[in-house]
Amino acid sequence: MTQARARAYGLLSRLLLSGGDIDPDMAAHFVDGEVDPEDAATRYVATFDLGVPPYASTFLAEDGRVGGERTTRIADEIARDGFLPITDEVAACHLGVLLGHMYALVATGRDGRAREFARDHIASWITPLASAVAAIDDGLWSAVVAMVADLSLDDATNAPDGDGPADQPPPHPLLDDASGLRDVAEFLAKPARCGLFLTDAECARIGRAYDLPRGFGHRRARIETQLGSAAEYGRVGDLATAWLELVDRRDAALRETEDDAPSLRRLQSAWRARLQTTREMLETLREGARRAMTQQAAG
Amino acid sequence: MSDLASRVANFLGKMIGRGDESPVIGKTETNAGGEALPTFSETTVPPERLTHVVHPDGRMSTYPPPEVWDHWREWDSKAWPRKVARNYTLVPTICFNCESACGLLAYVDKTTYEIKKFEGNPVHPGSRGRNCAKGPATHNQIYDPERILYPLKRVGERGEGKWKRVSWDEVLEDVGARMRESRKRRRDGIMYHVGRPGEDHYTNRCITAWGVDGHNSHTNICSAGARAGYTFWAGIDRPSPDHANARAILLISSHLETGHYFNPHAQRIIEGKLDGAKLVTMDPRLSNTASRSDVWLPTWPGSESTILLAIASYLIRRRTYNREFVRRWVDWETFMKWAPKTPDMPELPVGDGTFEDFERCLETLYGQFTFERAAEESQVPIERIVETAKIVEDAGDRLAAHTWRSASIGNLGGWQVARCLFFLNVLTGSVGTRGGTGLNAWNKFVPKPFKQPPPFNAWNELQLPHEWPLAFFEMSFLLPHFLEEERGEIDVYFTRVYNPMWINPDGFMWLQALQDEKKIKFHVALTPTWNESAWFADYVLPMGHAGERHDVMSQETHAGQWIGFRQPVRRVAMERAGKKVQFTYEANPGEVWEENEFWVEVSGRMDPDGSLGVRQWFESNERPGELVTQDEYWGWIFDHSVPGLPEAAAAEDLTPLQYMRKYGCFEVKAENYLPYEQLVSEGGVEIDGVRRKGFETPSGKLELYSETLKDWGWPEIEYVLPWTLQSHVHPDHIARDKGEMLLLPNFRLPTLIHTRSANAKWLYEISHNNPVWMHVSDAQRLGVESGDLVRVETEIGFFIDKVWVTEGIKPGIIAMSHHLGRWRLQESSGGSPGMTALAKLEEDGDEHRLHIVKGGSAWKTFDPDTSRIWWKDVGVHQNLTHGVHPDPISGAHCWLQRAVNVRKAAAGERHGDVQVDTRKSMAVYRKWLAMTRSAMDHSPDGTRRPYWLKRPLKPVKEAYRLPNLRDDEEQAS
Repeated sequence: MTQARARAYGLLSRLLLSGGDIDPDMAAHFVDGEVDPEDAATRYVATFDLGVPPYASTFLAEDGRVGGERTTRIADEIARDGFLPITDEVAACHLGVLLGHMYALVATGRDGRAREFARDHIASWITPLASAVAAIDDGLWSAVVAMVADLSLDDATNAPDGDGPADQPPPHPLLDDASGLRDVAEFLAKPARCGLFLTDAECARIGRAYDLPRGFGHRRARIETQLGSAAEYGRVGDLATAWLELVDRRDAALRETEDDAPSLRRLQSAWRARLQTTREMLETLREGARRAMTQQAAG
Repeated sequence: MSDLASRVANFLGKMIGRGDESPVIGKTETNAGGEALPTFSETTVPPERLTHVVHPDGRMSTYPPPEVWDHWREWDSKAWPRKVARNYTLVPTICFNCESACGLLAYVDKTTYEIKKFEGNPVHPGSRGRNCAKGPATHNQIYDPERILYPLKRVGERGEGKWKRVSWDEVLEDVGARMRESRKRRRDGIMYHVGRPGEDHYTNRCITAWGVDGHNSHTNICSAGARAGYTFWAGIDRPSPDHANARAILLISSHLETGHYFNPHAQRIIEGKLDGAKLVTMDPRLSNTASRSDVWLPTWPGSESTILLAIASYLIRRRTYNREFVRRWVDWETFMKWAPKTPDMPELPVGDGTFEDFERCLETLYGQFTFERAAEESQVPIERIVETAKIVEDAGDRLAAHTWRSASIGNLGGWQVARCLFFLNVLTGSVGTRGGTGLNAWNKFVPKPFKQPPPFNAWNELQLPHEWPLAFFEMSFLLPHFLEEERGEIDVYFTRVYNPMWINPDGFMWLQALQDEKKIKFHVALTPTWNESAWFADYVLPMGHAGERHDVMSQETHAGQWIGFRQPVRRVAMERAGKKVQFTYEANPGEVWEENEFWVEVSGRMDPDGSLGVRQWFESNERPGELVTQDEYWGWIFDHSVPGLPEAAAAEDLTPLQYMRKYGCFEVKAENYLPYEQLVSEGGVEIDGVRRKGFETPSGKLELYSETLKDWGWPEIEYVLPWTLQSHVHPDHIARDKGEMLLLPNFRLPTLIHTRSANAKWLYEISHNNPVWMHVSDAQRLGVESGDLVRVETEIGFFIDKVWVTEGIKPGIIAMSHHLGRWRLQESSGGSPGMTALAKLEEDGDEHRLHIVKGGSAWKTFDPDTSRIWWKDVGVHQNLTHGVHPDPISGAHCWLQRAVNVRKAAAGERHGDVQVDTRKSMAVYRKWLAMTRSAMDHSPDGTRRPYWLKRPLKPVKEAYRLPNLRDDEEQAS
């Protein structure tokens, strides 16, 4: 079974590092029916290159940037385990690299260390990633990431507490009277603060629903554009409601995980606490928008 | 089962039937790679500044200054244009790729403890920050994809290539028990056979502590001839020229000075030349050194002594030698006493036996060595010999001269080449002077060891048999022949950085011996790399390269003394960071260990309760009953055995051990000229009424006439005096008109180092084949062009190699470098596919064949360079076809071979193929054995060997007695 587990990690790693250029035989384990390689490659780009970057730092680093302290820490740990991450094209905190390392740890019989690594660097952010991926793709790639989530949570189940997101989430910006829309956008662009990765696809869909521009530039700028447009056109309440629905969907996924892996409840609770903070912020925003609308109607 | 568990189980079930996924990310171990290191963030912190060092030759280099070695920062060149900072701790160590002991500086990444690179150590007094190609290539060896990472135990038949990984504990128990059993029964059953010592004293102390006569070396295929020649003069067996200050530099061959071995000499030769020194090189081959010489003397091998004596005769005839030095320091009185009684001695004008009479005798004696005779024998234009004589005359007491291998190890009687060369130093008075030629014992610093065990009472006849009482030293290359003659057997045979089947002549004899479990009962190969001999071992134990082990080492690089400290650099870096390391294999890649800790631990297992008297020598001073640690051992040495080191350390508020860990070396004496002139109150020798230290000969003086040789059965003129001896490859013995040629098989390439080169990709990219050098005229005669295959037949077999046609070799001689021609017997094990050929061994009675199945090829590993191997020719293993040629006096294997036939290869004869008949091997051995004069017949005092001559490990005096005499005495009593 150890060999099978190692192979599983190896296969998942290869898929995630493939850039979408896959062998259909590899995909057959995840979806029913034949997989069109061209389609898989297109969806890979949409899901990971344009959608949600599969990097631990994106979810766990305070600034959400790859290549910082979190990346370095992971690279150091891999090296200290006696392996050398090949990081020519992707950073050490890429999910494919992390799975490759799991392959190496499991294959060399270092089960304890594998569990610890799975808990600290994969299980600690895989559920928010899986939810975000599921929001973009309903085929091969969401199945692959879901399987990564299952495997890593299963491995992390018996690991002691470790290096996940802090239990207490940071406060949301609307608690500070001086905050503005830019601060809200900044908050929503950082999964480590808001608890979810707001994908461009979701933003686009919401934009279409409420006739709001999806904006351009980097993600925070796009969120800010959408929020600013909503404020300008009186759609903040709708936008907040739409985002609240996303929060609820993400929360449901986390609740499910809590049931699947009760021992990781603390980890999931930390993410759920962030979603709760975001929920409170969005409700405050919606309430503010409602009052503003009321005042506008009265005045 | 929960939903999650069942989903995972279901998925894993699908994986069971699936083939293994190819390596993904990070499958490779730490020994693998080194280049694909983790991602680092950009930085705004600038790197540390380099310090500039101006070398004596005026060139300038930059190095990290020692004060920032603990926290060195530089930008990662591979990350360019991003400015990514990498933080290193720089740990000094000593190169292990030849015996020069140059300083290296390891850049150990503070985050990962990976070694980024090796560069020169600027504070090292010998190498002064500069290294040859082999130093930085240590990185290749450490990160070699084919490295042996764990102890391996044979599980099939010897040589079958089946191994299992075992723990160090299992190894220690098994090996320790076998050593114990052998030691209980006998004191000559354990043999430590060392190829590359790379250290001074540590292992010899261990062998002495075991109480066995167990040291065997590779000296007799290397330097035995030169050692004998220098020893008969001065009692010290190795020269130490002061090239940088010389007026003339006279070299026999080039291999040291080209940099194979003594990059520190190469540096100083250039300094000497820049300062006006003339360089003269004798070499039948136009080597790199020869091409840069003022005079190149392409001598016919074996004629060097004639040229040297012609120069000596010139100085004597013109009375331009240093008469005062000769009068004071040459034991001319003994000459005057014995020379006239020497068989075949010409009439000498001995007169009243005064010094002036001695001078007249010299003139009479050496008058026969004319320039004309030298030119005829050497086949060198007379003008060049005359020019050389004038250069030597002009040099006065600033003549730096050197020979180590080449002619001294090539020819029957090669030891006389060294003796004749040093004769010129004696005549010019350039012994130990500034710009002259010192001796290694003056300039090589070896510290007193920690707890010196007493000498053992044993004599191993397999190492120093009675036929060679004057050998320097053990007759190691004849071990299989001795075993074949059933002279003995070995209980526990350690080979250490040694590949005897490949490096020695007559390798198929070694193959037979290594396969025979009755002769070599238990073979433990301590090696950093796979090699042909280790394949036939019972255990293969991975040992560290430079940067993975502790040793002290010093060499006679110039007229000064220093000591270097080799360190396991990752261990030191980890300890600097506060991490505890008990054994070095915890810090090295895989479980690569170091011999020093291994010897301590295995000796503890050999004698667990101390009843053999062995354990006490391995116990700590500070922790009674416990085994000594490396910190304790070296701490003691540096506290007690290195003059000036404690004071230098205290000045920096360090302990001596901390000082050596920080700098990796210490200069004991900046200059050391004329040490024999030192005044002494006891011992020494009286010169003009004053007692001086003198030399290490029985007379305390320089011995022109050797009473030792006379007394031990060699009284003829050509032995007792510096003289010429006819080589086995003298033109009289090479029938060139019948197609015979002289094979010069032992020149070296400056970038390679025997077996270990094949684990250094950079070195192999530079040189990976060893074609037959052949002069244009010979090529025309044979009808071959460069790249054609030739079949070279020797006394015992033949090999097939490509030919390289050149003007840079003397006609009648063919030459090959002896580094190359590595092979392995399995596709994926036993050597690097890019650096070794895949071979098949075939045996038909005494006929042995090595058939090359496939040359070098690219292969896939974590290291992208292995898939970029572009060459196929990895050389030919010519040594298999060499008959053994033990010199009857020095014991040296006389490497030069008579090629009985050289012709263009026929159809079906394939590159690299070798064939040997071991019946012929034994016949050649017996022919040379017949030249010896045994101690049984010639010993003047019933001993096996003159007691004053060196041995690597000297037993008690009692052990020197010949066995038959001892038996007689016992019967009488």
